[in-house]
Amino acid sequence: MVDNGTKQTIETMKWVRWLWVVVPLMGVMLYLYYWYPEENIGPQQPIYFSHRVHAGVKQINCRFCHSFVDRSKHAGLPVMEKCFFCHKYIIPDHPQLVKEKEHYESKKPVQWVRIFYVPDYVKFRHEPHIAWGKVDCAVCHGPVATADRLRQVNFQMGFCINCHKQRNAQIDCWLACHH
Amino acid sequence: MAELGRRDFLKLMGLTSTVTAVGCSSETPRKLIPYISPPEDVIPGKATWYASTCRECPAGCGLLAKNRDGHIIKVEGNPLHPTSGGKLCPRGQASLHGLYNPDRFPGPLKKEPNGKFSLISWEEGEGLLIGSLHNAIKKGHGDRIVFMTDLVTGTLHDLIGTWLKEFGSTEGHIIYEPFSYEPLREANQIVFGRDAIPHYRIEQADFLISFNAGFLETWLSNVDYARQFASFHAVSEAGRHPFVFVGPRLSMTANNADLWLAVAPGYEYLVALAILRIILDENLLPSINPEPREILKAAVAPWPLEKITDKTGLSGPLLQKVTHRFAQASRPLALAEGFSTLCPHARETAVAANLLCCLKPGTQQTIDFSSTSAYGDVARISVIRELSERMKRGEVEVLLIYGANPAFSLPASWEFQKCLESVPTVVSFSSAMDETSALAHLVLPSHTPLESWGDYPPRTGVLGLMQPVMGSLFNSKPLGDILLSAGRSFKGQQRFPWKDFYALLQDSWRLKWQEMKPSVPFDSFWEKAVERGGFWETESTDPPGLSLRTTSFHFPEPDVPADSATGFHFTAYPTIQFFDGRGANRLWLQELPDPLTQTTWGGWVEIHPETAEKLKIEKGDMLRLRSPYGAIEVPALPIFTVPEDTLAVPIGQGHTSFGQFADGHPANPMHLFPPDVDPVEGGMVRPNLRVSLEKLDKHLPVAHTDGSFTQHDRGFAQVIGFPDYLKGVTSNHKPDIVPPLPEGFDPKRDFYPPHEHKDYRWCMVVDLDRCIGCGACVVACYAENNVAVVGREQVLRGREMSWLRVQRYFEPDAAVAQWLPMFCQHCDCAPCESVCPVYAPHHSKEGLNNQVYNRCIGTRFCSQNDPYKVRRFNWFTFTRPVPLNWQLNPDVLVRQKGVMEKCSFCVQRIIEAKTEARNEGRMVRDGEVTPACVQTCPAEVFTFGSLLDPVSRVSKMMWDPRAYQVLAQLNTKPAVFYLKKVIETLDIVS
Repeated sequence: MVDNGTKQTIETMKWVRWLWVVVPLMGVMLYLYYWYPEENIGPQQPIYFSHRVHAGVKQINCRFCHSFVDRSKHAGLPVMEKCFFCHKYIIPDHPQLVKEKEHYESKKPVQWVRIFYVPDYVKFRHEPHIAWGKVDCAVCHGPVATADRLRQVNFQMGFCINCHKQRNAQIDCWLACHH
Repeated sequence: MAELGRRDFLKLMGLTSTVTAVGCSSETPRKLIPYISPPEDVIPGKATWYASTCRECPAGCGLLAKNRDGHIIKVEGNPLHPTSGGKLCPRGQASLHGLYNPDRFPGPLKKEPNGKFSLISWEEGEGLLIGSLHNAIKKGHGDRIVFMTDLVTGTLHDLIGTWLKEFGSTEGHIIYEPFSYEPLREANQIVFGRDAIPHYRIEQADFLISFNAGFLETWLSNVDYARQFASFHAVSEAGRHPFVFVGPRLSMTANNADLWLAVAPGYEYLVALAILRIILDENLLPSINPEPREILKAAVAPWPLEKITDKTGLSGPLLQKVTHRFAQASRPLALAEGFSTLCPHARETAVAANLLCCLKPGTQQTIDFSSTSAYGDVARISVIRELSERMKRGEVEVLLIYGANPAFSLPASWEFQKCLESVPTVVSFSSAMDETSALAHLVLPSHTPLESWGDYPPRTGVLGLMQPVMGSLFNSKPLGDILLSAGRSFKGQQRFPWKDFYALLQDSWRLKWQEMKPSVPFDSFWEKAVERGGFWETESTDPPGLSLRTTSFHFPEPDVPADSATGFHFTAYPTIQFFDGRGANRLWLQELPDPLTQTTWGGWVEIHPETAEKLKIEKGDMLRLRSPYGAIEVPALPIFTVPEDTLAVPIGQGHTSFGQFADGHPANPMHLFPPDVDPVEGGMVRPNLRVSLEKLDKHLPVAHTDGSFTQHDRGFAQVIGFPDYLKGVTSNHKPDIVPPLPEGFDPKRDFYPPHEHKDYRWCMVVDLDRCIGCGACVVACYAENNVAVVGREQVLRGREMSWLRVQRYFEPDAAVAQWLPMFCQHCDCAPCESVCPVYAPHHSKEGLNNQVYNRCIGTRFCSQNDPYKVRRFNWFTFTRPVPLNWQLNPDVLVRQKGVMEKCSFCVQRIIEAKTEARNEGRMVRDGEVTPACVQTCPAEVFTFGSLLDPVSRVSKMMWDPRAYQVLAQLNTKPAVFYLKKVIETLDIVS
C-alpha cells in the first residue's frame, strides 16, 4: 500500500521526468535560433547575379542599373533589356545568361527575391535620401561591391532616427514615414 | 479522439508556442519583378496620368486616370475638358469600381439548356455570334438583327451603324437610355422649333427657376451644371442670383435653392403659368412684343392666379414675389426636368418653362442650341415599345446588347423579360452581370470604357477621347474589335480593312482633322488629342436666337385620379449615387450616404414624419406601395423631404442580378409605373397616379448615418442673414475666431504651451455657402486614402469608416437642410492628443494632427475625447474582394484591426508637393497642395493652404466676416474654418 505522500512524490517525479526532455529541447531550440553561427550570405536569387563582379570588379555605377534612385520612391530594377546591352557581347554563353536570355525572349520576367525592405507602415522613399541627403548607398545596403549575394538587413527604427537626428532631417512621424 | 488531459494539453501548448516562436522568423519571400523593356513615360513609384472620358453617365466628363506601377488608383477630372473642368461627381470618382468590379465576367459565357452559364473560349463565343448572325442573314432576315446600346456616339456609333448596314439592318441600332427626356425635346420643338437639347449656360443667367430639373444630381450634365451653378449662385456684396426650385420633393438640387416651392407631382407647370399670368396681368415686362404677348395671353387665359393658388396650395403673394424677382432679372433662365417618368405633365411643364425663357432677350445667351446634347440621339421610348412588340412577334432574330439594362430600368408591367424570351439569340457585350445579361444566351464580355480606345462627344463641339488607362484585367475584348472581326468574317477584308478598333478610330479622327484643315500634321494633332483627352473648340458666343414658333398653346387641367382622396402622391427620383441604377454595384456609392436622407445600402420610401405618426409607421417598417400597375415593398423612412401627402422612392436600387453589392436591396420604383407610351412625344406615359400604402408585419432597419435630424442648437452648421453679412463686410468686422497659431494661445485660458510650426501650418477653409451636398469629396477621400467600405451591417452599428462626411442638419422649421462637410479639424489644442497613452495622435511641425497607425494600440480614448467624432476605429481588418485591392493607393497605409484612423489632410499629397518644391529649391506655393476632396469638389467649397504664408488664400479667408470654427467654445483651435451659409437673399436685387 502506498501512502498519499509517496503517491504525490511519484506524481511529482513523473513531471520532473518530463523536464529532462523539455529543458534540453528548449535549450537546443534557443541555441539554433539565437546563437547558431549562421552563414548570412543572403537569399539565393533565380539567376546567380553577382553584385561583387558588377559593382566591385567592373566598377559599374549603381545608378546604371538602379536609375530612378534620385527621382522616385523606388531605386528601380534594371529592365531585362539592359542586361543585354553588355551581355550581348560579354560571356553571352554563360549558363546563367542563357537562362536570363530565355526569360527575356519568352517575355517572362525574372522574379528577383526582394532583399531590402521595411514594413508596410514605413513609407520609405529613395529620392530625398539620395538627391538631398546625399546618403551613400552603402550606409543602408552595406558593402554591396564586395558581396556576391546581398545580405538582408533587419532595419530598425533607431537606425533611421539616429541618422535623421544627426543630419537634422525630418523626424515628424506622418510627414516623414508613417502615413 | 483520444482523451487529452489538462496536463498534456498544457505540455502541447508549451511545445507549440516554442515551435511558433522559432518558426515565425521565416516569411514568404517578397518578389521584385522587372520590366522586360522600358515602358514609355513610366518611372516605377511615380504616377503617370492618362486622359480619358468618364462613361458612368451620358454627360461624358473628361477625366485623368492616375496609373501607379500599372494599376489605376484614382481618377480625377480633366482640368482642360469643358464639361468637367477638373472635377468629377461621386459616380465619376467611383468609375474605378466598374473597372475592378469583382463580379465581372471571367470570359465568354454560354447559356446551357439548364439555364446556367458556362465558361467558353473566345473562339467558340465569337463562333456562336457569327453563327447566329449567319443564320439570320441566310434566311434573309438581316433586318432582324438589332443592336441595343446605351448612349454611344462617335466612332463606335458609326461602326455599329456600318456593321448593321452590311447585314441589311438599316434601323437596327437602338440607343436606349432610361432617362430619355422626350418631353423636353418635344417642348423645345414646340417652343423653339428645335428637336434637341441645348447646352444651358447657367453661369450667365441672373435668375434661375427649375421645374423639378435636378441639374445638380443627374440632369443632363451634372458636373458641368454644378460648376456653373456654383459661380452663378456665389454671394457677393451685391447679393446673389436667386434660384427657385419647384417640385414635389426636397431633392439635393431643391435644397440648394433660395426658395423651394413644394407642389404635388405634375403641378409644377401651374407655377410657370402663374408667373406668366402675373407678368401679363401686372404688365411687368412692357418690352414683350405685341404678337408673342397675345400668344401668351391666350395660353394663360384659363388660368387666373386664384385657380392656380387653389390647385397648388401655394400662396398668391409668394408667387407674386417670385414673379417680381423674375421680371427684375435681365437673363432669367427656366429649366424643366422634361422626363415623364418622374412627374406627370412633363411636356406641359417643359413648354411652360420654355415660354418663360422667351420673355427676356437676355435669356437667349443662356440657352445654346449651337452645342446640342448627345441625349438628342437617344431613341424615344416609343421606339423601344415598337422593338418590344417586334420581339414579341418573333420579328427579331438576334438582339445584341451593350451597356443598356432595359430589363431593370423598364417598368415591370412592360414585361421586357417576356419580350427577350421570344428572341432566339440574345447576345450581351456587358462587362459584368446585369439583369439583361442574365437573360442572354451568349455573353461576350467587352472591355470597360477605362480599358478601351474610343471617343465620345457629349455635345457638339466637344470631342472626348478615351484611351486604355491600364492593361485589361479580365478575359474581355474591346467591343469594336469583336465587331470588326465578326464583320470581316462575313464581308471580307475590304469592307472592314482596319486591323483593330484603334486603327478605325485613328482613321475617323483623320477625317475630322482633314475637315478642320489645321496647320499641324495628323500625327501631332492625334498625339495632342490623346494627351489632352480630346478635342474641343472654344465656346461660341453668338446668341442662338430663340423665338416663339407656335401660335397657340394649350395647358390642360392636371388630371385627378379617382382614388385621389385615399392615395398618396408619388414621386420616384434619380439619385446622384445611382443615376438610373447603373451605379448600384459600386461599393463606394452604396456606402456613400444619400445627400438628404443620409442613408446607405438599400432603398427607402420617404414619408413625412407627421403622416407616419398618424399611420403609426416607424422607421424601418416595411411598407407595400401599390399603384394600379404594380407593387413594391420598401422600408419606411420618415423625413421632412416630402410634403405630408407625398411619398418618394429613389431610383436605382432593387437589383436582382447586378452583382454581390447591388442585389437584394429594396426596391425598384419603376415597378409602380405603367408601360404605356405617349403618342405625342413618344415618351413614357406618366399618369397622375396615387399609390396606396400598406404596413407589413416586417421590419428592415434603414442604414442611415445621421444621428439626428437637427443640430439641437449646437451651431455646427451656421447661417447668416444677408443684411448681417453685408454689415460684416462693410464694417470690416473681424470674425470671432481663434487662429491655430501661437497668437491663438492665451496663458489665462490655455494650460499647454503653443505649438511652434515650421515652414507651414496647413489649414482648410470650407465655404458652406457653396456646398451642394453631392458627396464627391467623400468618394474621392475613400479612393485616395484606402478608406474601408464596411457594408450594411456595420453601418447599422455606426462603424462606417469615412474620414470625411457631409452631415445634413434640418433647420428647426424643417423646411430646408444645411450640409456640413466634417472631417478632422487638425486642432492646435486637440483633445485627442492629450489622452492617448501611447502618443499615437500628436501634433506635427506643420500643424497636422498626426495619427501614427503603427503606434496605435486601440484604446479608443482619442475618439471618446474627440468632440467632432471624426476618428474611425477599425473594428475588423476590412478586406477588399479581388481585384478591388488593385485600386489601393500605395502611398497610404492600409489600416488593420484595432487601429484608429482619420483625415490626414492627404499628407501624402503634401509630401509630394513639398518634394517637388524642394527639388526646385523653393517653398510650396499656395494652391499646389490639393487634398482629394479639394480636388474633386465641383462647387469649389474647399480651400487648402498654409497659414504661415501671409498672402495665401486661407490666411485671407479665415478673416472673412462669415468665418467661424465648429465648437470653438471648447477651445480646440481648429484649423478648419467654415464660412457661414448666407440666407435671406431672395429679396436682394443685384
